[in-house]
Amino acid sequence: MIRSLYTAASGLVTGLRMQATVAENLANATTTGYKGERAAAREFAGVLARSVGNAPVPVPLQLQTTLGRLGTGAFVNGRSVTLETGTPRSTGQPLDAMIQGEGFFTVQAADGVRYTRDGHFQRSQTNQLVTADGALVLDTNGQPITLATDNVRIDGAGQIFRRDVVDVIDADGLPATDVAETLVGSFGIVTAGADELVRAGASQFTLVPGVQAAPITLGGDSTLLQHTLEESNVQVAESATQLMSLSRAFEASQHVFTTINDTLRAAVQDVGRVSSR
Amino acid sequence: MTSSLDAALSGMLTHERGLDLIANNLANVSTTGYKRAVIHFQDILDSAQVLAVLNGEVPAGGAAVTSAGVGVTNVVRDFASGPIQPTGRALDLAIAGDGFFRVRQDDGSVAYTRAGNLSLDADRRLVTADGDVIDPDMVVPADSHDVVIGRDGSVSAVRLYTAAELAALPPDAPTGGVLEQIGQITLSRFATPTGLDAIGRNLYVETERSQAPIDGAPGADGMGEVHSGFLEAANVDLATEMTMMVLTSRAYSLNLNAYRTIEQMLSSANQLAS
Repeated sequence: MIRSLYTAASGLVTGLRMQATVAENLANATTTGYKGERAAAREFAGVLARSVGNAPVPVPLQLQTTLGRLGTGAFVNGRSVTLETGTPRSTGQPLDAMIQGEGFFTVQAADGVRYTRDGHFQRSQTNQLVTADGALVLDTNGQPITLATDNVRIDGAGQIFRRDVVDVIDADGLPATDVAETLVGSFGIVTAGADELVRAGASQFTLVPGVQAAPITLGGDSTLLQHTLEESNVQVAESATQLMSLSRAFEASQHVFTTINDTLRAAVQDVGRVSSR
Repeated sequence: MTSSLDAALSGMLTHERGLDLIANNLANVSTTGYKRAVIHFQDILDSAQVLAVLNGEVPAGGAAVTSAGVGVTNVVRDFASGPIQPTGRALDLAIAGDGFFRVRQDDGSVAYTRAGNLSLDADRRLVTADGDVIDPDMVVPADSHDVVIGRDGSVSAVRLYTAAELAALPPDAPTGGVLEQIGQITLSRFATPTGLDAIGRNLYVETERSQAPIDGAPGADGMGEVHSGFLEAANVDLATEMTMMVLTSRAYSLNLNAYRTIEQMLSSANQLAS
């Protein structure tokens, strides 16, 4: 009977752990390029229950009757990143980019190469393309991208063109202005599986040791959208529902715990007590 | 176990910050030359946990790393041009380009603004609505009136004829005065305007990130021409801001909800043994 207390307690612990994931998702419901997480609960390996009721003592093994499996509770087995693409939000900013489809931007953070879906880029004081927290955005060759102006065009394949206004002479021989585009570089886009990604903070991911990110070419299934940011892929309604259902499941576990506790108390205090009357 | 409370709390705090900024944008919806602020969030994480995964001390698969919620990464000014609106006042100036007006602060340093609702102070200098002097100085002489500002930034005023000049005029010539240039407006532009630091009163100062200003006359080099009789309205779009406000306040209440729920769970866990 003591064991059942642990089983009920494991339900409580699991409830709180699962709720932590929901709370993190909700906290990041408006974070650009955030990828929600899903916690998966699993049953502890059960034990085989045997009947020892009418057996002689000591119990010979062959006499035991197998009753079936006895569950011993649940635990949070793992959390996985959900990679669904978030909703595009138009910002009108030339350096905002979003990958529609799979892929990650490659960035050079202070402590190594990181991967991110957050395409809210800026130019640093040295004219390099950086993320909001200052990590260098890398091109297909793993080099930083240098831009002298915010006036850029980014095409669906992730190529960045600098747009310069140039003076030209038009067909009638009159001076006119035109826009000249120069290719500056292309975003280095890579892909990795959900189970290979490790959160690194600042909306970035790193990879589990020993795994290499696979470079991909944009333009096919995945395209790049300029002037757009990817909203968090957290489904608010789903998270709010989880919040409630987890809290109810927690209450249920708590009732089980209380009931077992009361039963145990009765067994300890009342069974075998000689009535005072 | 309290990390889930922290996550919900961080959600409330950052979205509150977001609401502050949206409120400020909305309050300045009719401030001349105001540039909206845009807030940016990122998830935050215990870096020790990440290191443990990378060093192979903890099995990976996303399971080991729990985030501590969300934080504000930065607040960026959106320097997109606001709508240019006619006012008909000669000293109202709008810049149709990337330039900024230069104003001299009390300590002699130069600040930059897009608000071109200028006027003359007691010393007949061109000043902003707040009384900051336009740099370089432009003084309208006492015998002049009707300031005219050209698209190239040239500032002229009608000078009254002196008695001697009046006497020398041909008999049927107009006697109002003569238009004379008294100064030239200089604009500044920045390689990275988002790096500018807002110091309030619609003024910005240069920082290392914005890089040194590039000075020039209006019309030159991407600076934009100045249009007299027009003002640049705030680039705040009411619909966008209201949408963001609803979104942010909903996100706030969701986090509050999560906080309450987890708090109830923890408190009932507390009472288990009673």
